[in-house]
Amino acid sequence: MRNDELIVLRREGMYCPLGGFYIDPILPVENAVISHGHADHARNGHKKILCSNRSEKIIHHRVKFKSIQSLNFRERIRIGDIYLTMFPASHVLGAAQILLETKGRRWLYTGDFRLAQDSSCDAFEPIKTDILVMESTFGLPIFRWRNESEVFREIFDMWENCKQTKMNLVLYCYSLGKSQRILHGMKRYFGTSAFPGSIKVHPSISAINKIYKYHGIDFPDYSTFSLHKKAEGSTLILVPPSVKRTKMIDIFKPCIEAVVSGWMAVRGNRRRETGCKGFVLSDHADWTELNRLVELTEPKNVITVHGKSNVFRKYIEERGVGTSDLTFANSN
Amino acid sequence: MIQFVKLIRSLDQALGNLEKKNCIKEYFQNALLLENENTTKNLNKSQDQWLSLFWAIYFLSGEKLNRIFSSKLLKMYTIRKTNMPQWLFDECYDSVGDLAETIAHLVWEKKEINDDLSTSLHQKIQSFMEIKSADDEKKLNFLT
Repeated sequence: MRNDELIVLRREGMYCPLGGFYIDPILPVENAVISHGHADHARNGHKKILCSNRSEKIIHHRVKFKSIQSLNFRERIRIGDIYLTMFPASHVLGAAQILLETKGRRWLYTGDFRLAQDSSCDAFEPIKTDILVMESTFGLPIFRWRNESEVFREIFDMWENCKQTKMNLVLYCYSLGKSQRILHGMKRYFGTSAFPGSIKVHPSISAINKIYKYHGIDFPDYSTFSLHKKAEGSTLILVPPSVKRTKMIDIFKPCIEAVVSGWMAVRGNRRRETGCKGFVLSDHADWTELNRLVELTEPKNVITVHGKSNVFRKYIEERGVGTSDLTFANSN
Repeated sequence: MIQFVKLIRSLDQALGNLEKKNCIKEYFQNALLLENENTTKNLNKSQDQWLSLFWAIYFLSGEKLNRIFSSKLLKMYTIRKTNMPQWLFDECYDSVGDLAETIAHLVWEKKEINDDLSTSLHQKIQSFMEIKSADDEKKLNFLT
């Protein structure tokens, strides 16, 4: 491990030696800085958690820990020999980029991020850095998103179609982020008076909605569905993907089911979701945005993590961007 | 041609034969301006419009045109148009698993319906037939 490395890789995950903390660790640790509340980043069992102020209630709701501290965006704190600042990453409410600084060196970890504007969460803020550690979930040029307004129009048109056929429309979407984006977007683009029917959500989505509302995000009227009461026709129903092919679906029938995810861009993925349609809507950066981030942050070196990291790394390397890997270091 | 493109997209998303039949029925009802299933409001169409409908039936019946552009040529066109390295194209193809779909993803541009879709289906097929016996370079220029 070289002295100038602010982030290394250990068995538990990314580690900052000068600060003595992990970032989004995959195993329980003493000190964890968590970028956002999705389960692949915020895990159970840490002793102390540091997160953004906008994430705190979400992480409280979803994760078991001993103690939690939160930071406002752009508030700089010192931990050991490191200065840490969080900046908004869009993606979901409270998602943070984590900037580490010491003696003229800057490392920026993006967490999961998106550049496009989305009024259901904080707008992404580009930060210049020396070393960029970035996600590359959709790091292939086949993933280039359309404007979200077009996708919302498709969802709305299908909902109206369901009204004609007296069916319900069931959307499978993550309970944190995607569901709130859909609810907020439907109201923003179409207005509640135009809705073909009522909206019902799964209890897990309802719980997150309350947190979003606490932070000032606006939703249309909805109710939490009951397992004992069938949904009447032309209801828009939001449920997490885990509900697919369970008995719970029976209370929604007759219905059209649709998965809302960036992975629906590929026909093979849509076909594997047997009996479901697909709407292509993602909370991650697409190929264009991944490249744009590298331009905006002007790094001397880029480290790609998550997803198509090798592909994206090779592509930017061929365009003259310096790249490297995180060094693996033994845990103490 | 816009209506035919919308039909193909609807068929791609359709779940089950009944929905596919309804998509096709709606397409022909609109194309023939049928008031209901049995009566026709106006059958006064140009020859081009009738020939486009013929092509739609031809393709929906499972018929194909004899290969006009080889897979190798389509791949070259995509790489040339997108200015991407060959290895990256191959990575995309590995991920998608279908050459036509891979090319469609890569050459798609984020804009409103372009001029190409204002051409009728018949005119589009005619232009393919005219280029059929040309050499690869002419075909590449045609595609680009």
